[in-house]
Amino acid sequence: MPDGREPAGRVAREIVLPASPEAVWESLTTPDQLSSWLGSRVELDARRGGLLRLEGGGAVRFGVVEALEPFEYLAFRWRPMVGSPDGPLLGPGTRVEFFLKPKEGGTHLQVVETMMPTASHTSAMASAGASR
Amino acid sequence: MNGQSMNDVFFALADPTRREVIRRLSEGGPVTVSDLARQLPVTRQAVAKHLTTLAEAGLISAEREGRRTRYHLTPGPLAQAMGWMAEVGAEWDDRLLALHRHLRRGS
Repeated sequence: MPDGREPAGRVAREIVLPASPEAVWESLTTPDQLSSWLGSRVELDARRGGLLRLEGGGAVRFGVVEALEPFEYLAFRWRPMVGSPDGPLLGPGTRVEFFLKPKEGGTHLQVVETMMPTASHTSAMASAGASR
Repeated sequence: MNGQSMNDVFFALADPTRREVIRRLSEGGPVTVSDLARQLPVTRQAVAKHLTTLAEAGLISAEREGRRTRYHLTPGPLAQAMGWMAEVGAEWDDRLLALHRHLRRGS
C-alpha cells in the first residue's frame, strides 16, 4: 500500500486445480456450478455491479461483483447481510478476490479475502495521510 | 465481536506504528505516552493519537496512577481478530477443496 499500511485483516489461500482457467472461471461465475460446489443456492449476475446472492445454512448473504477480467481475475464485495441487501450485518464486510493463472495443464488459483474499512476508517485514513 | 468492532481492530492494526506499540506492550508491560515517545520515531502527539485509536478498538486500556497514565494490552480483541482470520482461512480451505473435487468430477 502506498503509505506503508498493509491490510491487517487479510486471508490468502491458493490451490492448483485440475482444469483450464476457462473451466475454473465457469465454476466461479456460473450460478449452477457455484451452487453445485458451494453447496448453497447461488444466484449471480456475473457482470460489474451485479448481485451475488447465496442462500444456505439458514441465512441469505449478499455480494456485489466489483471487477472481473475473464479467466484471470474476479473480485466482489462481500456484505454478509441477513434477509436482504439492507438487512443487519452478520459480520465485517470483506472483499473477495480470485486470481487465476494457467499452470501445467491446470490452473493456479489464489483467493484473497480482505476486511474492508468502514466509511469512518476511510476518512480517518485520508485525514491521517493529509496531516503527515 | 460484531462486524464494526472487528473492523476497528483491523483498522487499528493496519498501521505499522500501532503494531509496534502493540509489540512493545506485549513484551514490556504497561507504558506511558512519554515512554513510547522516547522509544519510537514519532512525536508525543502522534503516540497519544495512536494510543487513542488502539484504546477505541479495545486493544489496550489505560490505567491512571497519580498523574501518570499507563497503557497495557487487553488480549481479548487481538485473539478474536486472529480467530476471525483462522475461521475465514478454514472456510476457504473447505471451499477450495470442494471446488477441486467439482472440477475433477467435471473433467
